[in-house]
Amino acid sequence: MNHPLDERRAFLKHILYGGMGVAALSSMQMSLMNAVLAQSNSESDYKALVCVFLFGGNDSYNMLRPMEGEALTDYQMTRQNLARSQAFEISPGSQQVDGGIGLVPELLGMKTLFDQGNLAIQANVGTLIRPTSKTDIINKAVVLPADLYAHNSQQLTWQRGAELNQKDTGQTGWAGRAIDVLQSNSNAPFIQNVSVTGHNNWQVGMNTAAYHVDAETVETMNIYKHHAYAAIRKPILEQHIYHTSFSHLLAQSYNEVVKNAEDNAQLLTNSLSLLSPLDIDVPSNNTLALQLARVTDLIRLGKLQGLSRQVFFVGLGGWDSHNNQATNHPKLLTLLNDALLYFYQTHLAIGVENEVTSFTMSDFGRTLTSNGDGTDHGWGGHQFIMGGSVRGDLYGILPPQTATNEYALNGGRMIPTTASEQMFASLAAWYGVSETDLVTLFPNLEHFDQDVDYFSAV
Amino acid sequence: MCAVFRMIFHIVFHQNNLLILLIFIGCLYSSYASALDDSDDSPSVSPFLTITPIQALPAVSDEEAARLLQQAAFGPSLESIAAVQVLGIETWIDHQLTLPATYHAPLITQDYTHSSAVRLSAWWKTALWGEDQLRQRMAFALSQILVVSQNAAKLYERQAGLIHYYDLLVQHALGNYNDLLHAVTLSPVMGKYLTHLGNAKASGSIRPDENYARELLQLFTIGLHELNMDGSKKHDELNQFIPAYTQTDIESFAKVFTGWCFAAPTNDRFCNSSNDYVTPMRAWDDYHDQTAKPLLLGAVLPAMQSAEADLLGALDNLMAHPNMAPFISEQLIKRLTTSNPSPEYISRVAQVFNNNGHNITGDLGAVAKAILLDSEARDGHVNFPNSFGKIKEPLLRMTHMWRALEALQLHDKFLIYNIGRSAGQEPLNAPSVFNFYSPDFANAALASHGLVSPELQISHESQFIEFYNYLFSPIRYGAAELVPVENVKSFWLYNQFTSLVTLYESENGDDLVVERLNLLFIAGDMSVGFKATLKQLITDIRSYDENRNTYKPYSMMANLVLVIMLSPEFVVQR
Repeated sequence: MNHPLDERRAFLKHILYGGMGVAALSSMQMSLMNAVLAQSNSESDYKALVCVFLFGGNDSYNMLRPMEGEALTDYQMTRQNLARSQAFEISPGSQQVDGGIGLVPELLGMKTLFDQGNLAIQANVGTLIRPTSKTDIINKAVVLPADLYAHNSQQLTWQRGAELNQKDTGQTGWAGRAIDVLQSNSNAPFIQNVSVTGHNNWQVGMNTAAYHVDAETVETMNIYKHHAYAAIRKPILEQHIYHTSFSHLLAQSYNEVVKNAEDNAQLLTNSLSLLSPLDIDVPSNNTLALQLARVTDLIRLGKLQGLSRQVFFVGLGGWDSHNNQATNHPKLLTLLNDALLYFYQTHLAIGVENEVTSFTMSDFGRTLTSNGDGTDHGWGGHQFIMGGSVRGDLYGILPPQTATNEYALNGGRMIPTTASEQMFASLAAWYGVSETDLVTLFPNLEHFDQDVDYFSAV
Repeated sequence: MCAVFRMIFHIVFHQNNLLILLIFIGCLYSSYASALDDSDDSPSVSPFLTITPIQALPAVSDEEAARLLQQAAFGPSLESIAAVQVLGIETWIDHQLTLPATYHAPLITQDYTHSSAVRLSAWWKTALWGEDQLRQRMAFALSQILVVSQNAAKLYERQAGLIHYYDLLVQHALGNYNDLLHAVTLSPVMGKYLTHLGNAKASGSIRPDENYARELLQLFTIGLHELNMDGSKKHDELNQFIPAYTQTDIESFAKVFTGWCFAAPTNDRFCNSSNDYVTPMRAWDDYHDQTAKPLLLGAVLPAMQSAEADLLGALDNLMAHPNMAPFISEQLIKRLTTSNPSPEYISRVAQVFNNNGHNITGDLGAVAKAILLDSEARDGHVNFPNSFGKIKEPLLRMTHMWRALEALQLHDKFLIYNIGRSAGQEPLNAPSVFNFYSPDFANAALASHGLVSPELQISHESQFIEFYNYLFSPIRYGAAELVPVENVKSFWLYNQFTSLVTLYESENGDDLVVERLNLLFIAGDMSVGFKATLKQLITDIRSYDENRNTYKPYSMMANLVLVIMLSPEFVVQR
């Protein structure tokens, strides 16, 4: 590829000299241009965080399978008809796992990344307020996260990165708060904070909100273009509607969402058209891969525009495997594996593999026991952290897959041994949040060891 | 049914004379009589015979009638505005409560495909032209509370089952919530969606499936936390919310929902597959957990009960829970009138949920009437001018326009494709059992005011553009009066603009058109600034046309409607 600086000059030239089509540059576009010009030396410091949300609660314990011995027998007894028959062994550098441990066949790509040292597996992580043991729970000696096992509440708790304090009526998520502390300027280019899969709270800050983009198309408003009267409608709508304030708070909120939609879509359409296609096939019939392809494009644009930080949210539904799990879960794991592997390959192709860290979140882990042909809502589970800066390893405690061990509640609902906030703190620190700010971002962090670190060399 | 009435009504429209009222009463009477014939429908006691004498009818303004029709129907039209005015608001609601249900399944004229377009042709027909507007609007609201979706469990292959599920909502929309829960629980569509179909009692280390038990409690009946009658959450001594149930409760309710399978699975075995997604599930007591089951509020289902007896007992247990009335009432209020009801409003409606005046709990007709007649519903736009109301969800924006402009279906296929993708919303196609949006959704700005706006959750940049791009051509080029027969598209509805054009061509036409649009689209609440904007648009287009020596009043009207449809003043129902 061209030297990045040359590419950026070409990009600027294109935008400033007519590449924007008939539309005059809006004030937002002008401020974007200024941002680009001001940041011409910042490319050595670029980082992106990509959250891959697995909606519904991934049975993440069943991504890993003991290789042999008692651990395997226990697994099979507990899992019954949902036990996996095969796995490819991985060798964590930092710990010995009884009976060995492997990734199920659908995750072969993840095994490759693990072996190369570019994938971390965080074992048994979940929402916690304090370190919590089974005895504590039985004795009611510890405060537990509210509304465990409820999809929406637990999704929110993961996305917000804080236990939902009862009095906490704010809506912020930890990426939004990270953006808030890293920049005082709330007029950052809209592609700094993008969701490709609809609303989430992870990206909500006091001074930032996600821009929503479709994975497959970026449409611009038909009402504004190439029809008779378009030139009359556009100024009417822009000046008298979208640039008006409304005293009605719902109307104003709606207006805030849509008022820049056309400008942004135009800018995005024009910018995307400048990118040369990467010579890597997007896995077919894989909506997650399509979303991640869009993210790679936005990373390229972000770097061209001189952004130093970006966050992205993508997601895949269908993980709530109450039934038919033996069929459905492997299919989902294949989609996840193929999408993440593809995503990483695009990073290698554009040379950003050390600048992008992706990670999974999910509502909760699931019961280790079967309800006949599926599993029910659980608590702790495993998550992936992927990137060239990641130190590949198995992190945390990997409890045995039995329903009665010291980490298991009724039915095999696993008590997390690492708090989600510990996992997030490592990601946020890598992203650039200072140690002081971490404690503000994650209100329960101070109650846990803060040595979870997926990035530093040992 | 009332074709004669409609005809005369059109002729003498807006003269409000006694003749109309008499004919209308005749109409009402026949509807009521036919409602009585429909034993499935269980109409509430008809208030028909107590219609207020004409001289005592309270005057209902055009705007008040239009506002009601935004809340209680799929949008106003001149005809429906006049009907509300003739009857008065309460009598109009009472009349609606007596109308027989329009079921969706019988309206289907084509083979189902594995897409939703055929199924939804019935949804559009009933929303746009059904007489039983209130029932249909309630059914739509309930479809977003008792959620099933074609996007899971391969239900997109079961469109006949899905439409029957919707008809259960239609059937019980003004009936009793307990009956509705019973019907929904035994629907094979729900059974597949929330996986209690085929759920068997424990065997070895295999446990009952908890899915339906959990979502029934969390989403369909009592919610996560103990509530006061006004919908506010109770606090314990540590000022924490109090969970309404525990994991142990879920495991107990999971045992209740064991032993149900298709009515006639292949080989008559539990639980083989079946193509019949319509007939209610049947109990197989050998697979039902017959241990005693502790429920909520200290109740216990005794051992050795049948699956059906356990089901009835469990639903009674939930109906008796103090959360039920505020939890369901608040959600119905949010679907019909306002995203931010006051605690007092919730409390007043919840009391009606608990007792309809005849010691019956869960009378949804009475609840709907209480929601709509409440002073907050009627005067909230005045008393809470900056917060009352709700963002119209995309489908309601579409029905609103097509009803206001008396849109015509010019093609018998009537398939509106891909609405789910374009609108971000499609009946029975939510992303999950949590619906298209959360009842508690707020952005940071609204949260700082303590407000929520559920529908805002799906109003984002790309959705906004895709939705209005989808609607652009049908509005701009969809004038029924102008479309040549050979160009009629099977997936469009065609707006009628003639009455607007007639106004436009009369004296002070600009003002009259803007005021008519104000009434039809914004229930008379259009701001002075927006009126000026629309008049500016008229002026600009007129000079554009005049410069080209053309005169295109229908295009003018389409342009006005386009701008209104995009405007925040239309999008927020007040």
